[in-house]
Amino acid sequence: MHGECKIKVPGGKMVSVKVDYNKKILSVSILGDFFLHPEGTVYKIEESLKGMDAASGKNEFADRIANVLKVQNASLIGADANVISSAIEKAIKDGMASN
Amino acid sequence: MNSAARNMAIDHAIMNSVRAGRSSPTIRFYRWKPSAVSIGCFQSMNDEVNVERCGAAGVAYVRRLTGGGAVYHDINGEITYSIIGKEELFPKNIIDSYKLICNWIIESLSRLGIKAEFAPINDIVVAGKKISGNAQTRREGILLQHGTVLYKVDVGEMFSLLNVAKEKISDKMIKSAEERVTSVSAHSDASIEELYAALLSGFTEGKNFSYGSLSEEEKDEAETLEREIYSTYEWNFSR
Repeated sequence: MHGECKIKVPGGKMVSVKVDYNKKILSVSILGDFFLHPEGTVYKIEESLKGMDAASGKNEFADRIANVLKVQNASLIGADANVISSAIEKAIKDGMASN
Repeated sequence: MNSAARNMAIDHAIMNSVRAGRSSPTIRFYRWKPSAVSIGCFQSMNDEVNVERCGAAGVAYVRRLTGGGAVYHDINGEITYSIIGKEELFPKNIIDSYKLICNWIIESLSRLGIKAEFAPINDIVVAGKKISGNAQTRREGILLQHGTVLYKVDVGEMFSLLNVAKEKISDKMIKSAEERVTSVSAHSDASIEELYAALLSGFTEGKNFSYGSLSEEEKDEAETLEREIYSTYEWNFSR
């Protein structure tokens, strides 16, 4: 299944998420006009989410994302782990609704 | 003036040259020929840009090294700058470093009688309307910030090149964008050459500097980066 979700962060940037999944997450693309330093961290976040249970809650996604940000000593500007995780959760629900 | 791919390759080549100690910190001003759309490094080209329409209009497109949003670089509508130097020359806090560099733009605009202010994260506004967007990356100890100062804006043309559904490009939407975006020409009679002169003095005031052009090494590396990265489908459509 495939789902997408866009969230405009109030006072911040746009976060767009595309998720392919069955029972597990197969791939996630995190897109948008936010800033993330170092930029390569986005691939590490996307990789870290693969294999997670698609029924995971947004808190579990947020923990995984926050951990990568911490390990990479990364700065996410204009968005945060909670916004991205909410977008992932909504994208998965969107995929279920349209399949 | 350079192509979109060459402009991004030059910024990248200067970063590498400054990192290697071959070049001093560099301030660069440039325009885009042909006009082009650049997208942030986390954006999807197909989501953001009407590639077909760009092709028909002779407008190029390129993915930047930096984050941020899609920007239409009208050949006659804006001036782009880039600042490249060791990170230690700038505040460690990213917003503070945006503010420092954006203040040079604000100072430049004041020379044209335009009162602008920094609007975090990365914008400069005049009376609440955006006149400049900026984007920064820090890689292996080198900071690159580039941004645009709008000279004049054609919102309808901009929307036609960005990937907004045609039915959504309503008069209301264009009016809304016009209410959020402004340009030097809306506030001053200055020519684009006079804007360039103001930027040059605003960016260099109080600094020891000399005028220069790209070194042969920078030119060679820019050619390579243009060919191997910025003009490739793999880079521009990687997301």
